[in-house]
Amino acid sequence: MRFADRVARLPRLGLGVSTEYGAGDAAGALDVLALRDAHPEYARFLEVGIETVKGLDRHARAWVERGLPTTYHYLDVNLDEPEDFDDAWLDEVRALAAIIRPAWLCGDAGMWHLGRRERGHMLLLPPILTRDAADAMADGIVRLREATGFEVLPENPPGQVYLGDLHLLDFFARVVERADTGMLLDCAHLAIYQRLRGHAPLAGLDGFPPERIVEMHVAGGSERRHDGFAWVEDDHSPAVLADTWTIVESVVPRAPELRAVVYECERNPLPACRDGFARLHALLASAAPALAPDARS
Amino acid sequence: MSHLALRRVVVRLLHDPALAAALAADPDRALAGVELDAAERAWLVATPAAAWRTDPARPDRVRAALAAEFPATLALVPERAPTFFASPFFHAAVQERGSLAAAFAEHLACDGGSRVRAVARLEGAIAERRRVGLAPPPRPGELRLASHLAVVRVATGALDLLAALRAGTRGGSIGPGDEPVLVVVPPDGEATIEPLAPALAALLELARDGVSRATLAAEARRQGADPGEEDEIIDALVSDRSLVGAGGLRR
Repeated sequence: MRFADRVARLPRLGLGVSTEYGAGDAAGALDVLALRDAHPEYARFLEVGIETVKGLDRHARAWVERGLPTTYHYLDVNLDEPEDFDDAWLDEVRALAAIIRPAWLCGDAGMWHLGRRERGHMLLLPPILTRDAADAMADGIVRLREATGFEVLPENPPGQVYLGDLHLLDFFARVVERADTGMLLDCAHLAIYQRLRGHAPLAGLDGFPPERIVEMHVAGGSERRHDGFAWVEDDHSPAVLADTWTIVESVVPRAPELRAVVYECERNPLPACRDGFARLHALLASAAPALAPDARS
Repeated sequence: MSHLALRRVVVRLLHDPALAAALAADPDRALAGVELDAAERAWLVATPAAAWRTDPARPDRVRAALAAEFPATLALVPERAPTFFASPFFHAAVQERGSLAAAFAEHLACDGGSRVRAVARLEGAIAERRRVGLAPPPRPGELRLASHLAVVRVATGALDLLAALRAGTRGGSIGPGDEPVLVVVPPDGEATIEPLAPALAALLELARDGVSRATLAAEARRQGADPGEEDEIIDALVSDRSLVGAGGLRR
């Protein structure tokens, strides 16, 4: 079955929040279940960032025990490295997915660990933006989808160094076409890339198939400078850059298969995030009403 | 797959300021031995040097995490830690998809004499066991050494030296011969190292990658077990979970 048919089976999750192991225990961190109780329209699902070696923390388990919707965000696979798909890791992914029962798998399609998958090797780098790398990435996505039975949505990663001869959106257009899958468009990461390359926030979007966008991420970032080199740190602060809002507000109305939007602010208290949630909810209510039903429904 | 090679060079540049400086000064020399095409080399050279230092604390963080696993070795050669990211061991580990902990152990041990090598071997063995994931089950009919255990051969006296260094003293010399020790790293407990009788070491080493019960029994007899005693020995190793495998017990 082709993606165009498979996507119809994916649930419309709406606006959600993210977490990863230990994030909810940080001082002043967002309490996702309290948010769900107080503002269900802002926390309709939880995206659970998972390293299989760590598993699920008490916050993720509590969410799952209430039977609430989730997505599975992998933090430990280099999709373009065939050696990464060992049986032990795949077994652990399947076991964790059986617990959280996600709507799909997703996550940054880059380098999550240097060397082999091992303690102390974690980092996150974007892929090399070439055709060969895109094809290897697509092969990994198909492999993970077939091994788990879940849709696998690649996400454009953040970075301070992007190498290659393709625009990031052309790279991921090739990935999703070859893997016949959907895309998790991280608008903050895209804004980071566009600024580093000297592009306008929306550059290249006209060449990306909007019907492939299933999920979007929105997050704040901080402008940094070092020895004259300027970049944006993807720190998930509540301060969403204007460039990121420009991308979000352009893409949402144009993405007919959009199922989910995550406001990534997991290490911040609700009062600091309230404006961002409200703005996103209002945007979805006007431009994608199926993703923002009345709070009573 | 040169995109993978290129990305691994990026990782090395993010950790090793000397390589970043060499790339700016003499790209051909800096990238010697790495299979990159002309375009890939040009992309690296065109990257602003400051872009490799946007997280200048990263090398220190990684090094501190590694150093925490090698306290005794670093008590002997503290000057080795700061040079790790410029070492061939680090660069090979990244470029060849290896292990940073193993590379760190090699780097510490390579230039410090027999005492340093012995202690680095022991701490490296613990670090390696900590990183072993869930092993697949043994093949049917086979027994295998449990994944939290490793038999390591080190210079005689290495265990006493390690204990002395951990206690904050200098420790003595080590002998010319070697001896087997058992490294035990339980999933949720503290690592230990204990002496191992040569006969038992031979049995456990034989089972490292999986072996039939009959082969193990034959080895036990060769190591001096009395007739009938070999089954008791193997059963005991299965009972205390040193050996794993379906059908490990006779009955």
